Amino acid sequence: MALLDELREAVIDGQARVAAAKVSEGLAEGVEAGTLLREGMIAGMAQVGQLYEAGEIYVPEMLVAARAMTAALTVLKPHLVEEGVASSGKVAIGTTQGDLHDIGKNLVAMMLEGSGYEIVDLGVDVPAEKFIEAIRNGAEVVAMSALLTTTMTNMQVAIQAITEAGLRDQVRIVVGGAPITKSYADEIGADGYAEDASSAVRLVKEVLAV
Amino acid sequence: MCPDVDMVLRTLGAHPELVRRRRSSALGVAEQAIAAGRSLLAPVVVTERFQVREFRHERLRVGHGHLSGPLVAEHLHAARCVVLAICSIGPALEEAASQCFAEDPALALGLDAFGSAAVDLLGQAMCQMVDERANAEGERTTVPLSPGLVGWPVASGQRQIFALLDAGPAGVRLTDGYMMLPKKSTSMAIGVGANVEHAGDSCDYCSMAATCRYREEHISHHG
Repeated sequence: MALLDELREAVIDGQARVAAAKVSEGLAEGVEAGTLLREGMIAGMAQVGQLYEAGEIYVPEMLVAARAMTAALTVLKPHLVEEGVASSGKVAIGTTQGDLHDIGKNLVAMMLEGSGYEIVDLGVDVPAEKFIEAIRNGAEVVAMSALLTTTMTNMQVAIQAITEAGLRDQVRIVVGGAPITKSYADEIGADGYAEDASSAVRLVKEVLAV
Repeated sequence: MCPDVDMVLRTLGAHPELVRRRRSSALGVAEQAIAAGRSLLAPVVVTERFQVREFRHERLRVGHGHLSGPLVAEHLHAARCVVLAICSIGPALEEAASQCFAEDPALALGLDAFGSAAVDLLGQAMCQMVDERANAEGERTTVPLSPGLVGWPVASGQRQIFALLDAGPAGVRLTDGYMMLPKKSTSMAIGVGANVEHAGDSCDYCSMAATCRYREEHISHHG
């Protein structure tokens, strides 16, 4: 369908107004909200992720696309609720206790939201109790980031607290940030590690499929 | 002391030539960030030169404190004195970046990169001043060492530097996790002496050297 292609292209090109207009146009034509979301917007963001990972585009372009996605989603959200379209999953995200670097975390949150996930943004300097509370409120994935070697150790503290609260089996935990490596993620008992925002989306999809 | 477009692009992990060839919107983001961020820069440096009193067991006694660790021992053991510095561009730019993320995330990222490039430039200017003075006195300098490099953990390195140097005038403070606030700040130690060696580049001693995209761009830029 031409409209879905145009919506997808608008997301890829980061044209927020066009993307929002295409959603309105599609809804007026009777296209289901779920179809617009999956076949237009999420498909567009998936392509953006592929282009980034192939080195064809850079982070700012990925963000511009994510912003277009958000603009379109604002128009679409009430209709998704009406149709009873469920999100792809609920993700609670935050930086570890003591870490105040929010840019990377915000970028991951935006990419996940653009890919159909419900985001609970816990902000920065998040103590383990807040992650636990988010899990009790239905978060299926906890995403933690840290930019410093001194604060990344609090990831393990949070994972231990989640385990001690008896919630470890209910949640998937993914980690990322400049000093984090796959081996560190394995060592602290996380379910996965992503090196950038695009691979974080892929990772969340993978861990939720397990 | 204002980073140019290419510096901002490299900090974003983008190759300036490719960006221009592809007519990437990253170029516009970098230009916009410079225009919006320039007036928010408030560069400040506090620095002091300390005579080395003793070097023993990987520990360098300077002033009323010490610097220690394998990296310190490797580079500063032959130093006659050590220059400590804390450089910052102030809090305004990072506050602006955080505030505009919801409205314009690409600009927020551009501002963040602009700030990182600016504090990097400030650190380089500081090193150049130390080099020039050392050269004028017939001495040499070591590579600048910052806490967090391999062999000088963030926690112990920051504790040592902040114990010796009053960061108050720079408006920089350490959090409980040894993170500097404002975030766009850097701390360093440079050894000075007739027999010190300037071995490599600070990036060579960074734990993220293998994966850092900024370093990739920096190396390709400098050949």
